[in-house]
Amino acid sequence: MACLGSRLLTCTRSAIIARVEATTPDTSDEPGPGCEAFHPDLVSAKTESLRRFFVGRDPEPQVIEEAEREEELNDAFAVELLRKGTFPATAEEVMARLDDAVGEGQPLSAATQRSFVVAEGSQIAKDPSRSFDRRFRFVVTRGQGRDGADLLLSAFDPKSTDIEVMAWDDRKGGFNYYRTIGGAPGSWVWAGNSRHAWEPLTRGSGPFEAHPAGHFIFKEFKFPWVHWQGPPARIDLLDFAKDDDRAAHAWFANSQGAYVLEPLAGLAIKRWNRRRIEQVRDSGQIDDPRQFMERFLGSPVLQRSTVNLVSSTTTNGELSDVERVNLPDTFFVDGDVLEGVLELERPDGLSVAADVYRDVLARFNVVVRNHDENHPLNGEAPFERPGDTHFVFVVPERAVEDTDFLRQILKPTPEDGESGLSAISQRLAACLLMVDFPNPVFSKRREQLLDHVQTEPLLAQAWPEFSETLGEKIAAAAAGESATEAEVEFAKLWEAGEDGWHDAAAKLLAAYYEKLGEQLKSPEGVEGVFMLAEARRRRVRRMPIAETALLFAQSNISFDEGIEEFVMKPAGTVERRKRA
Amino acid sequence: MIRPPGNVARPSQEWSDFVRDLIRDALHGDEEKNVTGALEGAEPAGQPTPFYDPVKEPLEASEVPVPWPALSGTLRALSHLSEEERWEIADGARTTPAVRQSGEQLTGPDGQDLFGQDEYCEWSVERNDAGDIVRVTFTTEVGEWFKHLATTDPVGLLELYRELAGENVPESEVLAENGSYVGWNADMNTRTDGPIVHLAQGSNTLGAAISLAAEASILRTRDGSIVRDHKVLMRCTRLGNPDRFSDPSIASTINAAAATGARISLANPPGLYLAGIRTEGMRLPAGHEDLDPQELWIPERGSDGRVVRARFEAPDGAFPLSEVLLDGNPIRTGAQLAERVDVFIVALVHDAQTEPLTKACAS
Repeated sequence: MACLGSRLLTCTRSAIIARVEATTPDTSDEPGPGCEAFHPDLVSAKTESLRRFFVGRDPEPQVIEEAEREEELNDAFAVELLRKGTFPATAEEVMARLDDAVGEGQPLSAATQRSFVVAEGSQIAKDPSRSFDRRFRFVVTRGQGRDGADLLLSAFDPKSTDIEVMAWDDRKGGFNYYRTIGGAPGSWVWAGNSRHAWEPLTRGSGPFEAHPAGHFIFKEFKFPWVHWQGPPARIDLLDFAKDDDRAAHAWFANSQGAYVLEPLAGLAIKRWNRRRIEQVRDSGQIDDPRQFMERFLGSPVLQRSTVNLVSSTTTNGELSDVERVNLPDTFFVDGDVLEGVLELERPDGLSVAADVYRDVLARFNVVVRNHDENHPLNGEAPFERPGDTHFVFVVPERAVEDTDFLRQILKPTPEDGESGLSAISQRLAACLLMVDFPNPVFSKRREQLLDHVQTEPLLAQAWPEFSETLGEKIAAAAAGESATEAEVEFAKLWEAGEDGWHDAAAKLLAAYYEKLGEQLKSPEGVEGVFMLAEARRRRVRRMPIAETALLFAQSNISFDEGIEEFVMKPAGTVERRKRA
Repeated sequence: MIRPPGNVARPSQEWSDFVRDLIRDALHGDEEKNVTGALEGAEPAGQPTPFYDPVKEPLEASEVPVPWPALSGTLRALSHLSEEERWEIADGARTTPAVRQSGEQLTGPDGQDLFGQDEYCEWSVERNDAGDIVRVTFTTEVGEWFKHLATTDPVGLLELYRELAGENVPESEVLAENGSYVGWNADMNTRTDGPIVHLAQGSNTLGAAISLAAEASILRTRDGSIVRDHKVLMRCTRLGNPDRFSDPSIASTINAAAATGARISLANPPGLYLAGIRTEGMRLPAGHEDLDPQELWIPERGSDGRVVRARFEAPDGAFPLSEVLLDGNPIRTGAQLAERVDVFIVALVHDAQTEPLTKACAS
């Protein structure tokens, strides 16, 4: 859940309206407005009510007829509360009303509750006299069954009236998205179901701006779970400003480490991917093959891009104590997919000298600051300290939801209820994913291959030939006069054949890893890597998941994203070049 | 009086005195034992000690549980290890340094040895003739308790060993001829299969936890500033590994409380405890779907919410654990379960307005 606290809190009314008008879709492929569509200046609140508001489809909140409620809203949150006329006014009241509604021993009982805390402003100023906004958010879950949590709630404050809830609906499949709007007590809207992230009018709009594939968002999914409360970095009383009542609330006092949220989020992701693939199989067609293949190749549309964030396990504070700074390998290559899906090797323990990393931070004047061009202060107290984020080198990597989607399609676990999808072969997946492999996220070159994917629905009877057909189509284009680099790169591996692609890919990777290791030994190599990281961060800063300037450190590296780009080369060097 | 960990036996004066000595030594040091106390070099002098003996000073205090996962954070920090590799290494590296299948010995960022079971929780795996896991036993019982039993109740100690590790445990593997305790290094405590008895990895002791807590109750300064970074704090105290889950959790919780002027101790009985197992995502084999996976977690020792030993196995051995899926993976190692087992200590926090003690970071 990433809508809450996104730019709607920092936008002026006129700016919001301008953006909403500018992004109102005139074609089915353009995302509509995002979370700002829920801004109180734009929608009317209605105390103690439940209405439907599918941004991109509904011009304003709509009455939900009883038949639609019965058909569509069969998650526990709706069944136990909303459909019975119970409309909690605050986040903590959601849980209290649930306790009233369900008995002990029930799947959503209080005993199944877990709470988690995240704050990008934690760790960096453990001093209650500093009054800047640490950006605390609480995630509270209910349900501990074999598919994990059935209800997930997000709020800035247990007493907040701005609430987001995701609740699993087993009958229709997917999570139903609910939120309050307008600040009126208990003014709830049903903002969509996970499946609406895949439908023309609603995709990339409303909640699906931040949840492009309909998943629960836990973007700092991996150890050390940067910004989250957990053993690697505990959030404690010193992280709260004086007089912040949230520090005394049970949701904080009983909060669990992000290591507990990680498997819960993983289960939520697997659950929706599994059901989504089932829905595709049952429907007998892939409605939009391009959107489907975006999960493999990335999306040129920012609102449909998905990434997670990962970091070093070294902290900024210990940079002067350690000799080496470990770097996440998924910054350099799509390690999780290579290893877990394609059975290729990932690099072994990448790191750089700590003194070189410190020099790079000094050279680029790296600071942690609570404001930037996308996140103005708006009257808040400013904060700035020199150096990198608490865990250094926070960078984007392939989103876990996409890695799991690929795995379920290519290497399903039938014992776990996964069914796979015959449309995509290992060979096709490998040849697509190995294009521009040193740039595992935001690869324009890989995105270009989407042009070869049909726009019309792909019927089930065509699935067995799809991989071969698409592979041959790209390979044929590579032989043409106007062949692109991506097509040529794809074709080289494709032509290695069913029996040869794996060894050919392994050789490319081994050569890259060796050269990369050499580059990381040189100050110039580390400097290039840092600039590449900064370029990727800047793209993330424009994504809806970037809710605060404190997400990343900032630097004085200057470049025009519209004109220039940084790319990692197979030689392990970073090239700064004009965009094609 | 300080009670035995987990309330596993009736309180004894000897044990209480032993633990109070640990607290005193952790604070004040002991020249004869060559132990330096946390208070050495701490300022200002004359203040009440932030870490206190709860018997000597029975202050009104709130209990603050400090949890962490049982599977090693030091292994988790090595991001190039696959899950499977991490699990296998953890199962095999209980008291010996972790080694990859290739023979490469794993080390931490500072070149230190890594251990697979270094979070104050260790486990043993038992398999059937087909090699499938049938039982995983977890313990947080400290070796000091068993050493204490050797001097106070050697007959009871031998009976306990035979209850935990099998009737055939020879006396010579537990007690030397002179009556001293030798079980700490005995086979059943250092091997990775067969029933475990107590914690055996060198850092997994009650004394280590108490020393860390005492040290963490003193704020550290570096370059004129109070150290707030938990990993730096671990380096400053020179106790524990900054990449573990347990030590930084304990140290940072106590250090943050001390910074507010609170006085801190460990709840009675001081010990390391098993919170339970998180079974979300667990699928039991066909025919057993209606069974709650929590029923496979069977506490064996400890009471009043202070469990120190538990096993995970199917009721009546109805199916091997390899038929259980966890996140889609069959259970092939104990470490997969350890990743879902939580360990905790309980800190006592007495709200006070004492001036925090500080001392310089160890260079």
